[in-house]
Amino acid sequence: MTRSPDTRTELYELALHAAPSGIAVVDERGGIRFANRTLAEMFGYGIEELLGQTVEILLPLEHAEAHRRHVQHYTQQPQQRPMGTGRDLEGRHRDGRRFPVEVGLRPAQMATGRAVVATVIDITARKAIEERLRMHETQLEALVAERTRELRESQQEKDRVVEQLIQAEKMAAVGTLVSGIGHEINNPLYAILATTEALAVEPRLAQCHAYALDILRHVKSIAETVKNLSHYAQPGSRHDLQRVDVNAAVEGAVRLARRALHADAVEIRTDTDAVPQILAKAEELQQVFFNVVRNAVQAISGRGRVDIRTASHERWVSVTVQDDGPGIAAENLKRVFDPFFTTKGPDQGEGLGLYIVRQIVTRYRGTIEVENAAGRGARFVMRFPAAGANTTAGENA
Amino acid sequence: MKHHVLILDDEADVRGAIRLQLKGTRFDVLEAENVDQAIALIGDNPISIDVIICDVRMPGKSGVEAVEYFQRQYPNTPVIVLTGFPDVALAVDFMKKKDVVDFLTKPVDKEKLVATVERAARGRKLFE
Repeated sequence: MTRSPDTRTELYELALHAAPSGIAVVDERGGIRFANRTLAEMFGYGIEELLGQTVEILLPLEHAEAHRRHVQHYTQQPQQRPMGTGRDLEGRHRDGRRFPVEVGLRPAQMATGRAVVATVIDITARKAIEERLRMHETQLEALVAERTRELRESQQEKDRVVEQLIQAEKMAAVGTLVSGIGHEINNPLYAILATTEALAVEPRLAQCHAYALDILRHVKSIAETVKNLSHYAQPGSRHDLQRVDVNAAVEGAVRLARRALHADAVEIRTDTDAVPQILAKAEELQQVFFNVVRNAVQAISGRGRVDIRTASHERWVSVTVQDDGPGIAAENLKRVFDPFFTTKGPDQGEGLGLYIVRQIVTRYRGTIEVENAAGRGARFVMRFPAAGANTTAGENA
Repeated sequence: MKHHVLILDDEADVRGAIRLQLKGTRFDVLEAENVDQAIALIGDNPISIDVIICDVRMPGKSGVEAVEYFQRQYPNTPVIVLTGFPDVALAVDFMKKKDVVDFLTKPVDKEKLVATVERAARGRKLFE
């Protein structure tokens, strides 16, 4: 049996029914004049069942009225609407289930009047993916917000701990100094006590006079020590800097180091030049030198020597602290000023001594550098700008 | 008969204070500002030292080393430890050493110092 060649219409129909999108031709009254198989299956109908129905049976009930007006409006002013541009719509399956669709509209002219060719895609799967993506995005945003908050809190916590430890290190330094200062106060106090006892029973006026002068001298010495103490722990600013004698601060630091560090095997020597005054706080500057000297003394195990030199060059005053210990490992040279960096045991501080030194030196607009000395040991060099002749700060210093 | 107290302290003011407080008692005072000086003084001196008053913290050899030395060389000479800064742990350490008879914290008044020195000197007699 032979078959006549397929007509063009048959070929069109074949292609239309095989298209992945639902396709319908709707007349100006909303009647379905054509539906392809994809569309019919999408909505759960047979093709024949759809023909002659109005398009509203494919829409959710509450949208039907609105849609009728749309159709009216559209057929009066037809314009092409490509897929994916309009708002998302819903279709109504024969079983009542609603599902998301995307609809493209294209006006057409039939022999019997105006029409619209509607292309419909079921986007249930895409919607589900989009919804999942949106959910993930929301979760991700929440996670990022949470992590950001945690990071901020952890940074705040870290800052707080650093602040506390710096304070603790300061207090520990004070503790070390207090035992040294105990001598500075108790020795003259003892002299005052003994002299006053003698004064109380001394009949000779001239001797009384001599005792009184002795007492006066010791009282002044204590007053000076206490005055220095009261400045010690104050947080600094540049406003209260005064002209300070660098050599006196060096001598003070060395005196304290000898007393407080129990390092009799280490000889601490000073070689001071006549240098200009600098803008600083005397007690703080003494702490700076004390910390650097302490670092040097602790670096030496057994017998050794620490040399402190002051010198001036143009408008700068330099203070060099050099020890003959083992020096600093090359990889640590850059880290010695970092907070909490220490190569010593836990009983020898938190690793903040040199950090504090650099903070203070920087506040004085000075610099501090460290290098290994040519022969042996480490060398710290601090440089401070000399106080100008017309500097107004603290002329009473 | 005069008795002798050796004061070992690096601070002249402190040695002066003790000298002043022992003035008029039966004790004469010898002074040393460091351990080596004290050792030389005891070694060279024909007179015997009845009591040693020894500071703790000094440049060079510390008071702890000094006490150990005195214990070895002069086991019958009582040592009074004098410190500028009260430290309980240090006190306990010293009290364990058998010839440390007392532990004083600066400043100490005349009455207490004299009583402590007297007690130390009498204790010595008991041993001899």
